[in-house]
Amino acid sequence: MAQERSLEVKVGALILVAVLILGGFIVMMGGLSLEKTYPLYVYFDNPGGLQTGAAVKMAGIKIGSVKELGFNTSHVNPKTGKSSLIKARANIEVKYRDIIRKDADFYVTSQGVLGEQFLAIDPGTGATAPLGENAEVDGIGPPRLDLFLAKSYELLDTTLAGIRNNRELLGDIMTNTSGLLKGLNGTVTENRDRINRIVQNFESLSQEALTLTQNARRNYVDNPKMLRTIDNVEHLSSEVRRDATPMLKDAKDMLANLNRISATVGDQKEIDKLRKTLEEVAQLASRANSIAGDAQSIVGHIKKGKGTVGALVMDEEMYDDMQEMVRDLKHNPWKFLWKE
Amino acid sequence: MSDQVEHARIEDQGAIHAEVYDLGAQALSLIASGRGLYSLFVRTLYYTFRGKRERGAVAAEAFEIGNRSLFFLCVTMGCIGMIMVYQAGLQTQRIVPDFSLLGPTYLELLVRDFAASIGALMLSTRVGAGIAAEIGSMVVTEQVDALRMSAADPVDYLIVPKFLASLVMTAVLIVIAGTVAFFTGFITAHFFFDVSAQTYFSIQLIDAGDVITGAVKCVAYGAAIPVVSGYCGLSTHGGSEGVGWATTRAVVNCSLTIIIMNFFISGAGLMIFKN
Repeated sequence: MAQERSLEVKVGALILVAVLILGGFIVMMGGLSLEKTYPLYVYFDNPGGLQTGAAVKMAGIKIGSVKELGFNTSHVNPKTGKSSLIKARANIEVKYRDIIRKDADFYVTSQGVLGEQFLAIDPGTGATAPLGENAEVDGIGPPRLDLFLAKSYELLDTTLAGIRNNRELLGDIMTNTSGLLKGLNGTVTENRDRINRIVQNFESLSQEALTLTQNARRNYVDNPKMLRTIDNVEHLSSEVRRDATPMLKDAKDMLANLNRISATVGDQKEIDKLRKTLEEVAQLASRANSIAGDAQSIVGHIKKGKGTVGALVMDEEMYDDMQEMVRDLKHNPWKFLWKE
Repeated sequence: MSDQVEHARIEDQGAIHAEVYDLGAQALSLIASGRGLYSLFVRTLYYTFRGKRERGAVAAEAFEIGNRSLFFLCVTMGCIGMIMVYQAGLQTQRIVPDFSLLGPTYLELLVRDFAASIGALMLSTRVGAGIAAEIGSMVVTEQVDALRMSAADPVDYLIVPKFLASLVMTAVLIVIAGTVAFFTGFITAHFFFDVSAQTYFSIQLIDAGDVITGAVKCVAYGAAIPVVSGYCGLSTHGGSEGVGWATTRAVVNCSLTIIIMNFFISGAGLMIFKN
């Protein structure tokens, strides 16, 4: 009997060990935590491989878990203007509530290359207020490698098809390009010195252009004289604007007077008189011209010192003698009457 | 002897005719075995709920199947665990020298498939062979006939205690041996690839689907081993040589059953828990 009981104890002990291992494993797997949590709602266009029960980590430390994932198209992302497709409920431990701020980033990433995906939180700066309970935020989805690969494959396929269909054309292009490059290389080698000179000239040209630009700027842009000129032009234009109205009025009056004159002079008789007068004026002008020519020749003689007046004006010695004589006559007026 | 005479008579009618006869005979034999196995399983289930068991019989069988197999199974699974982790580590080292997922992926493999299947295969070599030999020797010594004459069904008296004990102890052994395999894997990972305990002991890749699939396998294998090996024992004929063949057939059939069941349960698990 005692032996049978011993047998049962041994079997019971083995079962107990297995149950303890299994129970511990299940408790660990369920992520049993006695910490109080609060919910946050994160919207994603596509959360990738994020699953219910996935960890929520901040700086690598687990601070909660994703409790619910579901479709929700009512929320519109203010940045993209598109409605998000997935709403995830994340339960975060209450002790981290003050760390997660309103400018925090929520993104999906994975543990290593093959690891499962989890929700990571970049807590944000202390400048903003903490994100409270039941807050709704927009998350950043994981990079769409599948989409990238699909599009890359399509591009590659199109490129390959293009190459395959235009094999001869591409061959010709390659041959021509090769010939062109060879020719270009030969030309460059043959004209190396000339090209160097061209480059040097171009460099000096650009240097001169720079200097010219600087001078032009100094003289015509930064120059105060130019500014003054502009001011004067502005002042002038303002004056013109101010005087334009009275000037126009005067011009109108003048035109009216001219009209009246022309109406007065509009008769044929008066026109003949005017013509005659003008002819007389022309004759008078020709005479005046000849008189002026005579006067000019006289002045030319004088300038040359010819004649009495010319000698008096142009000869300095005579001028000095005359001055001496006048001075002498001033001091000795009796010489008017008596010659020594 | 009559079969041999019949076969000789058929061979006289032509080689092709003989081949067809063999194929048909084997197919009928397979169907008969399937029916017998099914019948035994149903009767075992019936007597599990309605039968009268001897006091302490289940505990004695549990001790025999569980406690006495513990050392063998732990050593086997421990060694296999070390080899698996070492090989996985070598392959990982060639591709990406990052061992952060060595422990989690190995644990996922253990929970979902490896611990239950390899553990049950190991257990079938010891327990299945033992059950077939015990019942087969009782058959050839006509003890089973004596039981029937005493109005005691051999299924109720012999198979059901083993069935109940195996159902519990297979799961117990697989849990313990799986734990041992995981720990021996850690020793290998730590000393050969410098993987820390914090990195190795991670359950991040395990989900409820893995645990349920593993648990279903434990129960299925625990039920299959005594039924298949009991059937092999009960169908023993031909004296001590027959007992030897029954033992061999028990090991082969149990292994085959475990592999086939593994295929179907894993497939069902993948379809049900694919997300």
